Amino acid sequence: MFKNPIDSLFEKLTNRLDEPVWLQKKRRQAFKNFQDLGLPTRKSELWKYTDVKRLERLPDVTDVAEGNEHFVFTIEGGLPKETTMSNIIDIKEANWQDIKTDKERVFVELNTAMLNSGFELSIAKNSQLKLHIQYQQISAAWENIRTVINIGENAQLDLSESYDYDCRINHVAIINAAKNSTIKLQSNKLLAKTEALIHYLKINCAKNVSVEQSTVNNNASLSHTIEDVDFNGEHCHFKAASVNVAHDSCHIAENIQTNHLVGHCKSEVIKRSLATDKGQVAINAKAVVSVAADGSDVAQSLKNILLSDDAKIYSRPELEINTDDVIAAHGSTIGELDELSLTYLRSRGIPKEQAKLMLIESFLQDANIFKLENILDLIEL
Amino acid sequence: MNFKRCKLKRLDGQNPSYEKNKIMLKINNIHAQVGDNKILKGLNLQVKPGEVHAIMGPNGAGKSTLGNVLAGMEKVQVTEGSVDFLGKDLLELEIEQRASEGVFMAFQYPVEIPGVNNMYFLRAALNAQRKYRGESEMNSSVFLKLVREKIKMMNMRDDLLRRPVNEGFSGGEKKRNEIFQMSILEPKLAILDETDSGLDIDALKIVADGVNQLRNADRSFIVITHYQRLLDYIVPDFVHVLADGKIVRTGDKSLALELEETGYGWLDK
Ligand SMILES: Nc1ncnc2c1ncn2[C@@H]1O[C@H](COP(=O)(O)OP(=O)(O)O)[C@@H](O)[C@H]1O
Ligand SMILES: [Mg+2]
Repeated sequence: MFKNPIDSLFEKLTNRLDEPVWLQKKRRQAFKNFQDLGLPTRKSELWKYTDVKRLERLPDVTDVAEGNEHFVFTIEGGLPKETTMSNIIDIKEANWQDIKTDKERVFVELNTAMLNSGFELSIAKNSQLKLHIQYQQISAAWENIRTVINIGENAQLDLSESYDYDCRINHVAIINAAKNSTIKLQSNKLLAKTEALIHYLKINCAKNVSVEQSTVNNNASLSHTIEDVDFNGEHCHFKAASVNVAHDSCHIAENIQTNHLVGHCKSEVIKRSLATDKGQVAINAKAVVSVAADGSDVAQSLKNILLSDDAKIYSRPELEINTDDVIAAHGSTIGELDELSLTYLRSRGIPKEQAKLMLIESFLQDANIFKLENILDLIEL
Repeated sequence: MNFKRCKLKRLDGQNPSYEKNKIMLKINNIHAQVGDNKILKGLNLQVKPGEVHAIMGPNGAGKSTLGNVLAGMEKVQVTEGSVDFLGKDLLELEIEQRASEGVFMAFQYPVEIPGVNNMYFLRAALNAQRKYRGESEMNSSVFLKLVREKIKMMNMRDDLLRRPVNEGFSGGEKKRNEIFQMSILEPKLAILDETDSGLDIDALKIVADGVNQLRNADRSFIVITHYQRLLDYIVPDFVHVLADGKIVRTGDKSLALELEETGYGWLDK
């Protein structure tokens, strides 16, 4: 997608699809925006440590993906009454949500331009839904996926999602949570070392919304996430935890921004990252508390362990607080496995490798908010 | 593998005759350093099964370093000499192998390991040692029973078991936890490095009790201490004075009393 003339791929796409005019217009506009903004550079804050050239070094992609069957869903108990799901291409123009983009979020524009798959799911109020989604890589082309989930008032969503191991996906996801709704989200991004995932996630929270999000990132030549969370109503509880592991020359970048637009919301971000070999992890956690957002509670805990001399981790907690009445705590550490602890465990007969795993498991514990028992199996160590 | 514990009561200072000639640990002319700091300078010591050896000496003499050499701590470099433990070259073995061969060190400063649960740690340790020796893993219910029995013996609160290893333990609790671990792991040779320091008299008695219950004809102890007090409760067969990296005097328990009186001033002469 990057070495080849994107323009010709785009032309092929717009000429091929028989879709509403408004969407074709959106595509064209998005493509123009993409070209105007250009690819992110090291000057962009959220790409500072991520080399976009990694995308160019991926095996070539020469075609645009077709069809809409790029997911496998499992819906436990079936779709609740009045819950609807439709193809993203078939939604009404009025339901299309534009996302504010900039140079950091330029891949959202590319996603719209090249969109080939997706859905909108609206969960009826007061209902409960348990859903598993597998994002599949069908062709050798980039998949440009857009998913929109609208959660009705008082509804509960328990979503687990995973991406194919061989994955070349640009995923734009929007979650709109109506008041009093609850979301549990487990994302497993366990990817091949040669593959790439570019993920943009926007979560809009109305009043009294509760979100618990747990992510496991393992490898990928490039796995880049930008997550924007807006609190539009008071008394939201948001907790996002992730475990990131990068081996060989893999690069994982996780950027999250929580926007406290109104008061009395709590956001907690927990990241635990490990890098070994020449692996790289870049973490950016930012919380913005607006002038009127009194009673906000913000916590960021970023902890990182380097397991080799060549590994690199960048970790940046950031608070932008514009009011006085705020509780804020943040911390970021980068270190190695504790030698004294390792020696102590070994002195009781525990072999070195097992002792290391025990320390790693305990290091990851705080980020394992759903108490996954197989967390060590999900990641490569 | 529940061997019947040998319940033989020993006469003070005497080994059961059948073990008489066997040597468990033979430390021969050990020279050791940390960085460029030469600490042990030709130390010799022999320990037979069932014996309790007390090592005393001034601060900085190298007592902990001796323990570290035996336990295999990597920061200490052995430059000369040998250590034979039950026919094996101890210095060739990794830390964890030494533990599994039956060497246990109760540390002067036990490490806190946040996030690693005490019980989980101890079971992992016991099973790793059993695996090393070709024995089957101990299942959790048998383990739990064992742990309950020993924790009672050590007069420790059971909630310490559910806490991370040594985290938030008081000084005394850490020392007791070391002896508790020892009682679970049942080593052949236990090295206690100033386990008595920082303990009040009640805690001291508990620790001594824990040690005495483990004393038998096959298990040996090297008890490093600064004070004679502990040796009232753990009666040693031999008392050695370590000074300037060597053992400079050896005697029986009366030597400890003598040192209490005279201090170490005579070493300077
Ligand atoms: N890790 C270390 N780094 C540097 N010097 C050390 C270290 N450990 C011990 N030493 C030094 O070695 C000497 C002996 O220490 P140690 O064996 O702890 O003595 P003791 O236990 O008899 O008080 C002391 O001079 C001490 O300062
Ligand atoms: Mg010492």
